[in-house]
Amino acid sequence: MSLEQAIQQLRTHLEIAPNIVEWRVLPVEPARTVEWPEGLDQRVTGALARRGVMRPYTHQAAAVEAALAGRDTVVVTPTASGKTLCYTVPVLESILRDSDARALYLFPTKALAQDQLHELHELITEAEIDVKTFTYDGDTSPAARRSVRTAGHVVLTNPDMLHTAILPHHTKWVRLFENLRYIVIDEIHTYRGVFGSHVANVLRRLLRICRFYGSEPTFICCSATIANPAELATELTGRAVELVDDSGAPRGERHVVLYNPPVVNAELGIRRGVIKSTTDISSILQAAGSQTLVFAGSRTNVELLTTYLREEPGGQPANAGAPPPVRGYRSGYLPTERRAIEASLRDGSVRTVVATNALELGIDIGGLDASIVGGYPGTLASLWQQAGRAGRRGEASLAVFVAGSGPLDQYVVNHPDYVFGASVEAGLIDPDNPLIAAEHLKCAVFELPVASDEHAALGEHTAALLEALEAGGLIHFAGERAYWMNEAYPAEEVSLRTGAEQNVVIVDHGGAPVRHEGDRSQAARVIGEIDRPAAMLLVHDEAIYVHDGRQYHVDRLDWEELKAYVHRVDVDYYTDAHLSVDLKVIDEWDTRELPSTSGHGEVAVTYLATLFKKIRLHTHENIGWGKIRLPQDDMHTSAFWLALPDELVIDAPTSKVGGALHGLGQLLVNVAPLLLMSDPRDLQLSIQVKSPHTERPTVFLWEVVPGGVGFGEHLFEDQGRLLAIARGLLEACECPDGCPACVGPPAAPGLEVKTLVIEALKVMAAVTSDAAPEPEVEAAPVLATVWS
Amino acid sequence: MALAREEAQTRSRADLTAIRARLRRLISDMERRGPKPVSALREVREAGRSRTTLEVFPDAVRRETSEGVCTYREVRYPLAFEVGEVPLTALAQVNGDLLDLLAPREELGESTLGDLWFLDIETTGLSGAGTLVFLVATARIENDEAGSAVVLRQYLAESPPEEAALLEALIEDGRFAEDPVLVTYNGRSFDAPMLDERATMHRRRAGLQGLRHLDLLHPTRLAFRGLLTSCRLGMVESEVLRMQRPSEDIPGAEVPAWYFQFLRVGDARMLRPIVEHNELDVVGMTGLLAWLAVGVQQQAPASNDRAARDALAVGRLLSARGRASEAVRHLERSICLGRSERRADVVVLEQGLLLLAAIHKRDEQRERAAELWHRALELPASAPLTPLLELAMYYEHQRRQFDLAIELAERARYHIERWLHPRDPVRGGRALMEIEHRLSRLQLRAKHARSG
Repeated sequence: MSLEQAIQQLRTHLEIAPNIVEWRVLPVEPARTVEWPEGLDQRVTGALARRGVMRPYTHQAAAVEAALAGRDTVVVTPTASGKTLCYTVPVLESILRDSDARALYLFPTKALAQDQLHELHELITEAEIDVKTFTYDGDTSPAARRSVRTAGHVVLTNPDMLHTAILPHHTKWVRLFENLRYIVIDEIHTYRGVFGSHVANVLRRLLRICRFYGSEPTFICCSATIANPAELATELTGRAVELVDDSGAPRGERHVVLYNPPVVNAELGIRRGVIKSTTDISSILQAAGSQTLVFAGSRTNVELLTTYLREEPGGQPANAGAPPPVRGYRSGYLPTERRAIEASLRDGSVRTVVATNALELGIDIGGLDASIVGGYPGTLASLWQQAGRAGRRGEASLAVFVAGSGPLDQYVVNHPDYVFGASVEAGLIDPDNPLIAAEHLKCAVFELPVASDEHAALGEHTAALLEALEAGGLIHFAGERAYWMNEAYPAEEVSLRTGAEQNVVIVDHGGAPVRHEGDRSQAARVIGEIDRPAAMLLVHDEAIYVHDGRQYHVDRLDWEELKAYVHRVDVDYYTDAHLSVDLKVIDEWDTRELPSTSGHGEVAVTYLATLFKKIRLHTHENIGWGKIRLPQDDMHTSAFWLALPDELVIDAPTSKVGGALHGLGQLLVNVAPLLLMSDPRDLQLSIQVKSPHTERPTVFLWEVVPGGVGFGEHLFEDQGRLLAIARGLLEACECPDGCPACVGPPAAPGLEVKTLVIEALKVMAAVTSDAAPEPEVEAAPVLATVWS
Repeated sequence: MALAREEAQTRSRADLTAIRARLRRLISDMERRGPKPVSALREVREAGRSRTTLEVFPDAVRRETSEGVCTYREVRYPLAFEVGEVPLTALAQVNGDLLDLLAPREELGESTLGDLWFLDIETTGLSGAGTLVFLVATARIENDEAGSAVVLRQYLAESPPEEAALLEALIEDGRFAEDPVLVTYNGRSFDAPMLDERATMHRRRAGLQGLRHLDLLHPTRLAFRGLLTSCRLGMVESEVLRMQRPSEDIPGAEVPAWYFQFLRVGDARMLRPIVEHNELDVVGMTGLLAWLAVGVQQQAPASNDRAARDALAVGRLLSARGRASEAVRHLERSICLGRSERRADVVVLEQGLLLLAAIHKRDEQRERAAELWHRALELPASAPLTPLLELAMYYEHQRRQFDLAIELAERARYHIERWLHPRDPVRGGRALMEIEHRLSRLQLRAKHARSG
């Protein structure tokens, strides 16, 4: 059977076909290849030829040529277009020309570095050349570190290791820094917002150390499709980066389908659930034998889909003892388990993988026949990234988006032009954010005394920041230089990411009673791990934790020791816990009454899991509930808040106030990143219809980073501009009553959210004395077309 | 979007003063969140105007190098000087044989006293490129018209940039011998790599890690681990050398804070405690080497309340270096001086008995070993497992007194069950299996012996 048959079935299926909103077939693109640039070492090109790459694609040749000429480049081409060769070839070439030459690879995760090490190693072995490659991360043994530092030609690491372990100890890495020719940054689109601003500062520090040791490396960056790859790469590296985006890789016929599940209750407007609908479609592909990747929005959904798909035709091994053809894949699986699943995807023994966005990044799993996206992943970039996983080189592929019932999903599925026509999100960063820059300036001074002629290279506020750091007693000026004057190790005080550091380990103790720590029954074994916030929801006492379709009952969650003790069960239900997120103002730093009550300060965001439901498999009916007894988790951060003007609220019906509040909040969340040069994921929105702090209907924009990087204050100080941009955007938006780009899709028809919000903005503008002239703002960051 | 950025930039250029104010706030917030500064310094009590280093240290000079100027001083310690209770004259007994014993892998057999280069550094932190070396003390044993003496040299960076000159002066002075031998306390993992990395920071090469190196920490650990609260140099100085630090001496952990305070305030009186601390560290090291020379070589060192412990320490060191026949003399002396009133004395006596017994056992002198194990068993409040097991073996195999062996093995089993197993299930479990095995074999042999 083939993909063609599956496509045929979908098109004619009595229940599915009527609910297909859009079916587009994107045309075939033939391969465009050229000769390798002159003078490349034949051992490498020969090895590539033996591995099937006789002639490079146009973009590969262009990238190799630019890199060899020392021009900084960013390569932006579709998934599976051979991006890796764009940096592997020039790096190996430079090492073969000069065996002292070194290269540094940065990947956003350890797993990707391991993946690339493996691939690079195979090519080196095939080419029979003496090039030493190492990963350098938290797992590298102290014994191995010495040889990585001195002997490694290519060091594969991540920005976090560069920040805390390599740069502060650069005197141990003299060989690397004296001879560094290339810095490779893969997945550059992940470095945006606060994280990207941190990484940009780390790169400034890196280039400084290179200058000190007399090397001037060339950047080779790779990115998935974003609106502004060259701009982002330029901001990150501080260099004018050349864009290579004309892909010469072949693409087969691509079918992209938008699917809106059928209405099952017309009176209440309820549609068939996204899990069931995703199962419906995936099972057809599974039965047809097509290798399929199914994306599910949450970890629970991954496990439910894995369970259901195993019950469908083709879901069980052909003969007993064979590996299961359907696998789950998500964070929380142990690394070895994940590597095994990736490998069996590549060798074809696994036919269907159900994954969260953990598989979105460039983990090498080869090309697949089809990709099913169950539920809108939140951004268009993610949607296309997930859809783009389908497609073997030059062969036909299928991508299906299955909409959920939320307003955002419904908007997307009903507006094909929004999906196809358009735009993907831009990657914005602000390396000069004072708080972020200050943290890295401390690190920079620690690494090498900062001379006065270096200020510009370290960011626009350097002089002012140094002054403040001196006043704080952290640095000492002597001569024209600033010296570190503190016993602290500054790199350890700042983490580049917000990610939760603590994990709960899940232990299968085989059903033996758990009496106390250290009570180890013989069957105890670790089956997975889970980050702390999610643990509250997934492995609380009495939860049914599902791992690769296997059910475990959680006997006890030891919140102190961060361990969950579970045992295998076989029940007909799963559990679903509710997390309540609450926001409280701890400290108001400033407030203003006009145009409307606003303020900024420190807030405490509390997460509390209270109840869980038991839900029957397949029918999804509620069959019971229980209490969760866990302490709440607190996070302190910075926030900006804004209340609706009193005159709009007085005498207004509650539904209107609520609608206006949600609309205003959504609009501000869309606009704020433009002002802050940050990523939408750096900010969260909380709505309080009657805020205990302002005593008014209030929107809160708070930072995801614990402690914050000063966004609350920035928004407060610039609120005139924020509101002006918001109004400009809203008035220019052509949607009838709300869309994801402005106030959000309407929760119900006829709310007139757009009108309400415009009204509110007018009232606020009218009383703002220092209102900035309204700038013209593009309706959305429309800069690139995905399928170009 | 591009517009928003442009705006942000215009704004920041336009209002630099406001930004400065905001930064100050942000940074003070940041500091409030960050770790607190080190504990408050003890105040320098003298009031009045600031003093310069040359005022505070009359023997100091400003020393010119190709890399700039640093502060430098020399202090001559005649060999008659006593470090605690140890006269430096004992250094005369240092020879190739002793050095070989202390650092067997360094091939120091041909080295002489004059090759030794004692060294200790003071830094602003523990690791990383932002840690400065601002003070170094070295010592060498030199002969001049006034006779032999330990000559101490100190190199001080009065400001961070002077570190370059400090290193340069140190590198110059390190050329005093063809093949100098570095003598440090934990310098193999700290002082030597740190100096080499600091040289890298100034684009120079120090090469200290390439020198032969006697790190006194290692033999000191072999000799004293478990006998002192810790093997830190200060502990060895006070407990072994009986060296008194002056009352104003500061703990090593406070050294960076004093230096930072000096940089801020510029009063060299704040340097005095650090400079003295650093000086005493190196003097302590010369004293320790002298002590080791006396301890290893002298026939009968002074008898005092620490003599048993010290003889045991020397015996342990010799034994660990494979020189058992020499160790025996020290161990016998330790046992002979040993007491059992205090707990610490019991530990010394017990360790001496067991180590000596082990040496005799290896030399096939089983009777003598058995006698020592019996003595160890009689000690009050000791840990009797080793002598019980050893004696059980002895009575089974050498004396064929199976009933006695059974009794000893049963006592051993009781101790394993009661004490070892609860604390260390892995070792305890294995020991239990072994003892059960031994017991059943013993029962069998005892039965055979009775019936036969």
